[in-house]
Amino acid sequence: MIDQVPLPPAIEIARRATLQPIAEVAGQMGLGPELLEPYGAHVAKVSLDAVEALAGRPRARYVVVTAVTPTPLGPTPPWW
Amino acid sequence: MVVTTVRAMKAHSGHHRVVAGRPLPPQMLEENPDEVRAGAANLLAHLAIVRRHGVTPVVAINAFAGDFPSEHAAIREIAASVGIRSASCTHFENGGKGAVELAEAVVEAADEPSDFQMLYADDATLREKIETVATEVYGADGVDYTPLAARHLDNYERVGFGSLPVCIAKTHLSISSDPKLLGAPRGWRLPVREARANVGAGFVYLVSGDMRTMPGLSRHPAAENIDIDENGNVVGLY
Repeated sequence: MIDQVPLPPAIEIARRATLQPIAEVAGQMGLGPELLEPYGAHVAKVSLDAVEALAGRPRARYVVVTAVTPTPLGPTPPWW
Repeated sequence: MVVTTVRAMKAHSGHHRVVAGRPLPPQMLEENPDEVRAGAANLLAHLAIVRRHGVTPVVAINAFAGDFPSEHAAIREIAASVGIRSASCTHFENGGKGAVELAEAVVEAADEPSDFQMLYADDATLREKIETVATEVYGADGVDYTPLAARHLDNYERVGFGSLPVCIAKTHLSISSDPKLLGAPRGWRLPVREARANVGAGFVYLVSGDMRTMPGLSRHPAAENIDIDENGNVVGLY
């Protein structure tokens, strides 16, 4: 049997995360500062100019996530 | 990617009565790979829907404490029996590390040649579109329209909205229109009560049975519980 691991509430997990600066996250995806409209250190909008600026890049893959028909408890019953 | 759980597979076996707000039947928590196999029809139906669109599916088994390896193996056998990749994932407990096997399966599947196809052509009639979804996705024998729905559809065709795609408001608790039917029901017809056109958004939607299109809202909105404490933390979100 897969053992039960004591888990903190989701809000605790979220608070423990150390946020990376959004400019770094964007940089890893090839979005330079000229294509970003920052809202503080951790949030930014991507300029529509990115569509043209990155047009030469190879096409990405689009992955759709779906699920089997859920039980009345939802697809992932929370029993712990 | 089609996500499933051991519990969902067992629920689709039809051997248990699962009711929201009540504890799961204790027999459902016992090791029972045969019951997982007995609930294969729903997963197989969803995989067939993905393939119907010309792309390669992958099965993600969302692992829970209390699952048995034999039960995960049963799900993987079901996927393999139709030539589909699968992976057990423990990302909820282990973060990104827990989803590496799944990610590798998705990369492999995405590298396979794909031939994505819509279910129907834009110039099919609204009724043809509805019947295509009903028979090829839901597995219905056909569609029954109320006189009201038929009048709506005739009007929309007449005023030029016939080329819009359709969106069907149907119970999520079954592939069929009857929330009590598990697995992959056959031998039923999709009832369409009314049709509405969302012209700005660009689709016509159909209401099946007594579905409501907007959930009821609580008398007390969640915002009433959300606050910021003395340390600047947002509290009351969950």
